[in-house]
Amino acid sequence: MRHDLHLNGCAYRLRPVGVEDAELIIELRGGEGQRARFLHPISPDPALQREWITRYLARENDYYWVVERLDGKRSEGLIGIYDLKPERQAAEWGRWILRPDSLAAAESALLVYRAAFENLQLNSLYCLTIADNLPVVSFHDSCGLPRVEVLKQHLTLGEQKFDAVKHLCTLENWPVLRSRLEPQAQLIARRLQRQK
Amino acid sequence: MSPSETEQQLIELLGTVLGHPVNPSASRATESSWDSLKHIQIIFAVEEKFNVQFQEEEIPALDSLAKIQARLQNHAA
Repeated sequence: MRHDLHLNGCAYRLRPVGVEDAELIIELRGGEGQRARFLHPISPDPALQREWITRYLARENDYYWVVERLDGKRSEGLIGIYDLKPERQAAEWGRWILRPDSLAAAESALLVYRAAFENLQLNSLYCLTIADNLPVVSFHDSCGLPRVEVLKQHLTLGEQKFDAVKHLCTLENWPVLRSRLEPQAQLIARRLQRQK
Repeated sequence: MSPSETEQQLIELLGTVLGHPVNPSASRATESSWDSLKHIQIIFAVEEKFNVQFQEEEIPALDSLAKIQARLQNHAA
């Protein structure tokens, strides 16, 4: 949806995706290898990507951001909150991709949880990760989030179905997650500052 | 510190961060629990233990015990 929710962290920020980000999205989500293996393929045609973004901007309860460095050096990745159910104050987050050499993992995740619980006033935020995507499953485990469910053959990429691991963050365990992510985000920010 | 001593200390350090024993061939490709959060924990722990500081652009590429050890050996040389 078209929104104006900006979040600034220690070293990174989230800023809303716009139509002008079509080429950036293609650059970040395109490519081959392990990272692309678990993403829905997208067309390399910027015109089609601009159409997708236009449809996204018209949708309700869907927030898509570019992850950027606060020092303006470059865009690091993408992240989103979507499928928000106002009646349950619950949503899913994902569309998460970072450049291979990015250090933004901890803070981009922290900022999306902050958006959910502190800006959007949600009660819960979950994510679904393809079970074979072991590093990302491990990341959510390392955040201290419980695996609440394994959904068999739930996600489809191309013609292949995958099991999905569901991690859930509620208002109750949000402080635990914050305590895991904030220190690392601060450490990384101090390191980036020292090397300016 | 000899290379074997460095390797042993790295094995212990990675084992502590990852929560399970590792061998000298440990890498992000072989250890499913070596995720983005653990990677930063490993890097900062190595820096503290060996009194080094890696450059920002080096950090993502230090994705195996062998690469970390090689980088430490270069620093010591």
